[in-house]
Amino acid sequence: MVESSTVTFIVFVVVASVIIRWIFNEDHVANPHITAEDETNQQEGGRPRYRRRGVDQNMVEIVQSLAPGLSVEQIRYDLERTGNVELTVERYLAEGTLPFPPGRTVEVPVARARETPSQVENVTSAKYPKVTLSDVDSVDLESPMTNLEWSESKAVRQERLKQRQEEMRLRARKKFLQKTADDEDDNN
Amino acid sequence: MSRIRSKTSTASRRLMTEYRDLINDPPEGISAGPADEDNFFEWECLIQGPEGTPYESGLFPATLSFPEDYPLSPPTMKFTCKMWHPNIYNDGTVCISILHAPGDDPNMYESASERWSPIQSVEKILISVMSMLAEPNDESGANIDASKMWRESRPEFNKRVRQTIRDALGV
Repeated sequence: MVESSTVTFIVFVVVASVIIRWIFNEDHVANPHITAEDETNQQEGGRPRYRRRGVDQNMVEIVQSLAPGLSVEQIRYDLERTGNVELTVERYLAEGTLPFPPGRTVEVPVARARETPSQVENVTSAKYPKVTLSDVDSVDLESPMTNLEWSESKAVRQERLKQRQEEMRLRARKKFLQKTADDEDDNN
Repeated sequence: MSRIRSKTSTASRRLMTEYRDLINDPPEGISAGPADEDNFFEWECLIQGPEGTPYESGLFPATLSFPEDYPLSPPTMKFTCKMWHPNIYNDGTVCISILHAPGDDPNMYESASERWSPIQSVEKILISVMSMLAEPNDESGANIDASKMWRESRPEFNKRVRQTIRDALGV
């Protein structure tokens, strides 16, 4: 019993994905999921296609099997926007989550919450003080390099990498100047 | 189209993992990552010159450009400062076996095991480049003049390297 339902499910998924693939490779006129409203919009001069689109339960299930952490509402909302399982899955992989429908008050996932501007400023300014090449004298070669730490926020990561490389440049510069001075002392 | 897209997303995910590993556990004297994360296929690296070599106390900037089918194909690496080294072309491109796919051996001397395969990584490339700075490979002359100078007049070679360090550091 269990086995036959598994087989049915797999066949179902395969057939569904073949159909979906076919639909989105063909001209959209042939797409049975598009509502009459969508079609008028497209004919009226190809506006971006984020009008509501027909969403099957199959499409939702396919996405859900890949992204079990998402709620049906999130998946349905994005599928209505894209009308395409592949695009929705890609968005999920790229962003790690999908937005909730407007009007729903839901807790913002941690990773996104850290991207708010005030947070970004706090993290960068507190732990990674700004340094410029003119600060050579302030560099203490004896002290270890600032420890790096992975951040889920793209902006913070980018800022930290920049700071790290700046710090390396600064240290290298100082070390070189010191060494040159030492060499000159030796020669005199 | 969708195949290209899935290839790129595999590459992006792989690069993201490697980037995270490099941040969490950075190798000594090396820093690397995408300068602008909107383009994850162009990285900026800094490599410290190994101690006890002419490159000592230098810090050399380079770019790594990843192909869409990374990690199936290797990236290319190019120093963005002037370099004087037998295995680095005049335009900064690095010529080292780990950056060559097994099928593509311009010099016919590299053994397959030293060459690129998906089990290699950015970290391994950068470490190999560091040891290449320490020990130039005399057989592969990407820069023939530098090769010759390295073999025949080491003091002059060292002096020239010293100058490139100064230029790179801006001192």
